[in-house]
Amino acid sequence: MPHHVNGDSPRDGGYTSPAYPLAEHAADSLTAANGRPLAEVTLDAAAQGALSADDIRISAATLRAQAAIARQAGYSAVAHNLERAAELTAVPNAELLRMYEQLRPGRASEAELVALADRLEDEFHAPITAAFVREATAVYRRRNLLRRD
Amino acid sequence: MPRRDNLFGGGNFDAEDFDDYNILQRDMQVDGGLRPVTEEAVLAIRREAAQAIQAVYAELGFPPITDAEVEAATTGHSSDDMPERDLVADLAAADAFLAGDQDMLTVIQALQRRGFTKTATNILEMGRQRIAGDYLQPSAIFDRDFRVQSAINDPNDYTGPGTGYRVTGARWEEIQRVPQAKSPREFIADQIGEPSKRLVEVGPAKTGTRPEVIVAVGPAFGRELTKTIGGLDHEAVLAAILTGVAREGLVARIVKVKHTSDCAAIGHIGASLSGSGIAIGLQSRGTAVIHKQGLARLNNLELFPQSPSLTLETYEAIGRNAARYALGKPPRPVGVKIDNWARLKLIVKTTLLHRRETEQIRDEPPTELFFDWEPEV
Repeated sequence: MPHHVNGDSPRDGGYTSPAYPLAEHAADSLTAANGRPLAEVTLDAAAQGALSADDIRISAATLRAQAAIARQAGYSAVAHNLERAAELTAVPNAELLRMYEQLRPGRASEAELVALADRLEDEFHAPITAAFVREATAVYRRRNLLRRD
Repeated sequence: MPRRDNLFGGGNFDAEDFDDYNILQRDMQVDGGLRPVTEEAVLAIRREAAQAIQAVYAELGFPPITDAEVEAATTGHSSDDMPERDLVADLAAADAFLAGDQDMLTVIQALQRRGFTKTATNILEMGRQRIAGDYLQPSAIFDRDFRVQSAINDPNDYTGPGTGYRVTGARWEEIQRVPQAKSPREFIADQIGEPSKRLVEVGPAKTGTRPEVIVAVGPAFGRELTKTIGGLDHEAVLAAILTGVAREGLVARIVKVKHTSDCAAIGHIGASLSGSGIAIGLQSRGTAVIHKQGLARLNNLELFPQSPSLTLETYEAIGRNAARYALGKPPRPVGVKIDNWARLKLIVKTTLLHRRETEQIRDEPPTELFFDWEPEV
């Protein structure tokens, strides 16, 4: 382990999670988004056409585990990001792309962004992402990035 | 592979820079992530990659890739070397792929059906890594066995010069194994021939008393080096200079300077031995100076520093001018081709030639050289 020289932030020296990388230390307990164990995601299964897209997609639980690892190492912004990602696994891809489009500058009115935040919270149980969109709404208003009708 | 057809990535770094970059890694002992490879290895991996794409196209019903295209992709230098394709058909196939429900798993199946097991395994492993998500952490990379290294398990430990990642061990050995590396000797092989039999040392150089031009040559001249950097034979260069001197009705003596390889010093010593006070200093790589007794060493009458551009005609003109100085006549301009790239192209060769000449330095006085040659005039 490198020495912790500067000491003012944990990321200078790095606390290492004993579980990381998960692919090495937690391979037996890792499952894909649909619950299939990692050990079953094999070339044979793929060649036989026994796998689908959800078999190679990350689960919310694993994203939260990665968020905890990032937070422990001092990367709180990365941790937040991964926690939002965990929430967003509940949102279908096409839906997610529509949300993404709405958040581009000048695409949505304030009411539409508020509605998006509410929907994230109520329908997809994504409170962190909902708060993030509400924060964005305030910033968009201040910086004139809302849609002008 | 340089991509002349890339509308997006106007990158300023591509395979044309790899040779330079490998040398920079080696000479500066830094790890830029580049790995010296042999041509055979590159051809093999490119052929395999092109065949894999050809197979996937065929399996997925895309517009076919011909064997000629695979061959061009294997040996081509840039995208310019690829045969024309029906881009409209390719784009239509891409649209259909994106609109349909085929995905990465379809590609893996196609590769496996066609026997590209290694590539299929690698692509599936990318999917498996998505399940673990270790690569989502800061500064993550995969090593060649798909193990993740990131700021979590390989944190930045740089705390100043001499700390942090230092390229050592097997990786350092690999960086140094540049297949196209030449030995220093190879750079100057053209300048090293059979020692001249027409040039014979005949004893200590005497100080002249009558009108003459001294041609003072460097310590490796005609022996350890036999050609100039421009590829001119030393005997031919001497003959050209002597012809020039003779055309002005004067004679020249040749002396070999033993204790310095510096062009100005060689000319300066020659001038001190010259009956007229005029000498031509000539390094073995061809750099020439016309010197005059009484001038400071680093001063001169004329300097011809771009030795690669000097021709036998130039050397004859230098001989003529030296004789004209000796006779008190006005000199004539000596035309010299200017090549602004010469320094850049030849700096290594120049350095090696100078080193070889310098290696011949002995703490001995100049000697007189007999040159078995008669003027045609």
